[in-house]
Amino acid sequence: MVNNGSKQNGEGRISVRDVEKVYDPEGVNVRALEECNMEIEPGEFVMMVGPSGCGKTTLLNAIAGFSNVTKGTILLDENVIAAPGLTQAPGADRIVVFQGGALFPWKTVLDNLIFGPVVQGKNKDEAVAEARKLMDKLGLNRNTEDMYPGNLSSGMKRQVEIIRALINNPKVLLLDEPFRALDSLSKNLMHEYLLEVFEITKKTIFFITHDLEEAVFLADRVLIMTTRPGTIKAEIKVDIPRPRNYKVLGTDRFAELKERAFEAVREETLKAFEAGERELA
Amino acid sequence: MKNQTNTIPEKINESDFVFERPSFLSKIFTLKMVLNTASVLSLFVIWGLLVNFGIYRFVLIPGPAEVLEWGIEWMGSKGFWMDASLSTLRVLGGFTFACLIAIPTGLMIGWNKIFSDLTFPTLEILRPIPGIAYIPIAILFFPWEEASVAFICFVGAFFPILLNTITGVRLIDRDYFRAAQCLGSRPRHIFWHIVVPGALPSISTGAALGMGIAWMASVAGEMISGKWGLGYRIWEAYTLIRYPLIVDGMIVIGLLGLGSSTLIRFITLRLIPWRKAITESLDESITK
Ligand SMILES: Nc1ncnc2c1ncn2[C@@H]1O[C@H](COP(=O)(O)OP(=O)(O)OP(=O)(O)O)[C@@H](O)[C@H]1O
Ligand SMILES: [Mg+2]
Repeated sequence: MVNNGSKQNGEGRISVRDVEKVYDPEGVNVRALEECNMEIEPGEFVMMVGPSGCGKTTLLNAIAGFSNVTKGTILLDENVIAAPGLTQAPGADRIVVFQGGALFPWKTVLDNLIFGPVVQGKNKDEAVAEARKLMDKLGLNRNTEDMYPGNLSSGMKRQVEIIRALINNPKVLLLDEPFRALDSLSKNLMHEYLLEVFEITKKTIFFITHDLEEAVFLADRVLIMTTRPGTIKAEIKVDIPRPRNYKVLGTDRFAELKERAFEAVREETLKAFEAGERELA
Repeated sequence: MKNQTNTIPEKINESDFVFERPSFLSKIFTLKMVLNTASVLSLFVIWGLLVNFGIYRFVLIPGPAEVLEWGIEWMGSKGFWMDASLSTLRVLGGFTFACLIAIPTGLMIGWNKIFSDLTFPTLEILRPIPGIAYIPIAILFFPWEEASVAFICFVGAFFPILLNTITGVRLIDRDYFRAAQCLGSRPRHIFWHIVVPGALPSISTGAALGMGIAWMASVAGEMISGKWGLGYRIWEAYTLIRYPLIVDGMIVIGLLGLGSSTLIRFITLRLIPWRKAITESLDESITK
């Protein structure tokens, strides 16, 4: 709402307005999104939860530019990035971190990190210097720079991938269940890591998950999506002060917020089940 | 602690020594060698027994001793080196051309829908035609005998390389393309940074396969056209009733084929260093 003057906080607003997305494979209409509205403020950390198959990835793909919308508009700051018949190609202003991880296995850590600047035509030496600076700043061991991703732990891979995105100074980071495949210990470490990155960079983050604890722990705001066709059903403002660490997990306030999120998602999941039963009947 | 005992010999005590000596790797290495040797030896033993005891029509087949005797004589002659080197050159020539054409074509077919629709149906019609069927046409067409045999090898190697390249591209995870786009890639970056390296492991499989088939094709080609070459020598040995030489020719082809696919594996492993960790762990689980 209030846009304070600092440059970084001024950039990276995502506005989703009345968006509809109908998939049409062989004439079978699948309405994935309907009248979907969402505002994400610059520098805000927004988590989205919702039943499986409700349209979360569809929304993220539309923001990223991987797929189109059939109605409505999506804006990044003042620019329309998606509308019927208009899809702005994916670019370094909104970078996605994928569920399965998408570090290029054939490039070393350093070559992965400088990939963005290099293909964008920037000076390679400067990119390398920048990558090293960022590795130090965001706590990635420099000894890893000549290693291939195949030799890194899964937590480290995500770390590299996040830095690979940040080196491009994107306006927003889009994360689609990036930690789903991690074991719980690495997952906890990555949560704290991402919180730290957020404190340092204050980027706008849109993060999809199924894990309510993750959602409440990380977010400024948790959005709950309805069952398909997806719209935003409710939002939960997380007023736990930052910087946060794992200790907030034990507080009453945390438990209370998580409970509220749980209730909301549960209701939608039950609806999804019933709808599924109707379809089968 | 351990590092110290390694670098300062005085500090090695007996228990450390005993503990470290039976290196796991060297154990596997020798076991592997023994098994590999046994495998080759058993081939010769079984063959020798079958011939010796005249089981079924094996009396008609030359035995190992005879073959060895003829082989030594043949390998001492100038003709042998002529045969072996000409065959190798034809195979390598055909194979190289096949790589030069099949790899770029396969990359384009795998990556670009329009190019794929444009070329793939034609290639699918040509694909079932075996290299041998091209022999008459090749003899008619090429003014030079070497070229016609090399062409037969080319045809044999072409399709395995092409198809593996296409599959290699198509199996690249979609997220890599998307990630590259997010990071600001243009199509040419996607091609060089994603399509090419992503398909390399599969291309190297195709190349190894193609090399094997090129050898097979060379034999067929040489039996029909040519005055030199291992295939021609085998056929000649049959017509001149010098049967042991047939088997010698076969063995030499087998060894050269083995050598060339080993060479390819050696080269491609260097082109895909990121696969090293994966192949090593695979090797380990196989030996276990
Ligand atoms: N390319 C497509 N063609 C047709 N239908 C699709 C396509 N992609 C997704 N869908 C359908 O659209 C709906 C929403 O899918 P989406 O992937 O956005 O859900 P999601 O909320 O991300 O689910 P999950 O939590 O399981 O990841 C699903 O019913 C899915 O089957
Ligand atoms: Mg999803």
